[in-house]
Amino acid sequence: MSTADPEATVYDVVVIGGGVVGCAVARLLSHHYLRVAVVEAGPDVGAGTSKANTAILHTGFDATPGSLESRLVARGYALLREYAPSAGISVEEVGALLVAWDDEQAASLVGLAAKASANGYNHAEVVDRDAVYDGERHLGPGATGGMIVPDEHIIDPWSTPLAFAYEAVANYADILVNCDVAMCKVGDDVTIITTRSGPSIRTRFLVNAAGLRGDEIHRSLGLDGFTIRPRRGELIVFDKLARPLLNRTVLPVPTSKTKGVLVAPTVFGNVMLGPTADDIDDKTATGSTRAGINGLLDKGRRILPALLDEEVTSVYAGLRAATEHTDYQISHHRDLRYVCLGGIRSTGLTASMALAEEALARLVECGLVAKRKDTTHSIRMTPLGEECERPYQRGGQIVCHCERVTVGEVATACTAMVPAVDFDGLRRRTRALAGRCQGFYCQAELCKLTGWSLAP
Amino acid sequence: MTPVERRVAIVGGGPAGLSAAIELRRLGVRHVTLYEREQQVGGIPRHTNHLGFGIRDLHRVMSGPRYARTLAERAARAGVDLRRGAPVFSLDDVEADAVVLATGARERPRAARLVPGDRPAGIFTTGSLQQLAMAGQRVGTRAVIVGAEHVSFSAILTLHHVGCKAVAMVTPLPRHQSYGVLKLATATVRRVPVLTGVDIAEIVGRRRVEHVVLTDGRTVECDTIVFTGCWIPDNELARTSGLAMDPTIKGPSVDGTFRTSRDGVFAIGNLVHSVAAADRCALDGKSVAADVVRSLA
Repeated sequence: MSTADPEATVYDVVVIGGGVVGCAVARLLSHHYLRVAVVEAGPDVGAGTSKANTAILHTGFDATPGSLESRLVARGYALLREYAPSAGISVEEVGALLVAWDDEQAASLVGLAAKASANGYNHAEVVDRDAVYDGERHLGPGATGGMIVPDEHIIDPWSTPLAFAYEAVANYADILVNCDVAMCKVGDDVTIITTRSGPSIRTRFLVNAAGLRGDEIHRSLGLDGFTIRPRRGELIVFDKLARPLLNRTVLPVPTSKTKGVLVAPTVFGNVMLGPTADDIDDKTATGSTRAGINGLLDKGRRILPALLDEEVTSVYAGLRAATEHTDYQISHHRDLRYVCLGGIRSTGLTASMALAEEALARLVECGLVAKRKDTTHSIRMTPLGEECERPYQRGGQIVCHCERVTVGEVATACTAMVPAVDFDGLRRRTRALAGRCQGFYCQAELCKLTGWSLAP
Repeated sequence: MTPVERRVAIVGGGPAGLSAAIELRRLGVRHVTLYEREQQVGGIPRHTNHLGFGIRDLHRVMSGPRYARTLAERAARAGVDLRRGAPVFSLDDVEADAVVLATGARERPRAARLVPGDRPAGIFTTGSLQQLAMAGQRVGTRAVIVGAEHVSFSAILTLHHVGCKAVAMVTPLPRHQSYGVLKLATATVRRVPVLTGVDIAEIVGRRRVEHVVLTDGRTVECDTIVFTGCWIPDNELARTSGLAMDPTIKGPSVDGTFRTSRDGVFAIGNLVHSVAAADRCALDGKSVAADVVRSLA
């Protein structure tokens, strides 16, 4: 992944954080005559908060009008919707149905439609109770009305940061994994980034896309302004046999704190229930809880009762980088040659490519000279979505039967531009082990194919 | 066409499917095709490396791998068209006058049991553990076994074989659900405490399992957890084919002659038992053959 000794190089721009935002920034920067590196604390890109996303490509209909988030989600939506098919990222235009469960919520729908218009989104349509049940006949009793948002998409949240990272590497950016940043020291021309794992990295400009630890990086530069308070979201993924139970993403009426618990199809053909929203202190507490799981099941039972008869394939939790503010915390500091992309919560997946544009514009404001390359390399991955043709359908030998992943796909993942280095990375690149048996049938075979051990 | 000239397809090459195929050939059915999605036939016994197989059907006592090999050889000798690496995604893809579904069952993994906590490495099912053991892979050093069925005690042997100590067996039920003699030969001999009436409340460990918290508040240090039993039929093909399902077993509903709700489609073995021993599944296979032939008349 790294083409040169990182310690001997002075990068033009270093992006701290290899999540979906950091990778999107690196991808865009790599299209310019710049030496670019992503510095990631973990062993892989897209392996932190980005992997536990709700996987929705939002129109931004419910954002706060006039906010940075509103503007960047709308712009990011357009960019990613166009980019995804060309890069092999699965997207499906399933639409969303926002359901009101009492008269008060039903009364608020008109206001929500007006808010959508204020966000530049004009296709939201308020519908009555009958239309709600016509659209989703497995919905539980008690709905009083709804609003259809036809342009909400579902997207593959794993392939998105990977595609960005692969394309960045294809255009000669370096991805430096296992580099946990300890300190950033800004000099006259060069900023020195010290890492806990050893190497120091030198750069002229710095972008903070560190997600949950964005506030720590920001403070290490002597700045202040926001504090990350992780908001944990637990999610339950149901078996693919549940997929016929719904057509659209089913949303509740959002509150100021959260978009609420939704039931959504995934591009992999599953049904997802969640997320919860718990403010916690520990930035590493990605475990699920009994209370969280039971709370979700209670909500799921009300929204889509038949869902509870299906098997659960996966339970996980992600931490949103929430702050004391409601909006994204984006700033640039010319004296420090530094751009901060802080407080990016679950909409970061949708907004990622717009955040990259924003970062580049602000880097230029800080004095970066970015000249577009005459030619750039594009990449195309094998799409993982159920709606796409997959290698097993062309006769590839299947190793993971639940997700129909072929031996060839596993080999490709292990030699990718940013290769899978563990089973978690393999799962995000191929879907292997992500299915209903969770390795009952294929774990040993995958150990053999990859050469990886499960011993501690 | 007489029954013997018809074509019968079998989906699943475990003991039930292989036994059905062998018996159909013995009854003279000319075209018997068995579709197995793995590269080898034999099913779960291929990886169950201890004695106790073949008693009721072959009237011999053999190890799982030997039993699987024996059935596979007999099927090949009987003239069954064995298609390995041949998954069946839809019954429409199978050209046959009758189909026997024998897709078996799997153990529910951790997520399906809704066990909260971290998601570290070191979490297995008996199925994955046995395959890793057969491949000579090590798994960990201290294991907690979840469940106390026959297969759970079998996991103690497998763990011992790979140099991993079973430190406790936990079941929310008031007692274990296996034979006393099996418990004696495994848990008692190896001094594995069987903790009844408790369940796993939380799994703790960031990269690797560090310990489990039990529902009674106790903590058990371990780097490995094996989720055993709690079987669910591999029912995807049955369900996507629109067969009427048994809501309790979660396999297709069958009558006394293994007929499902769809004409010409039969279901046998752990797809409808969830779960019986391999030799009992094999007896299903022997028995269904006559029913299939009768249905083709």
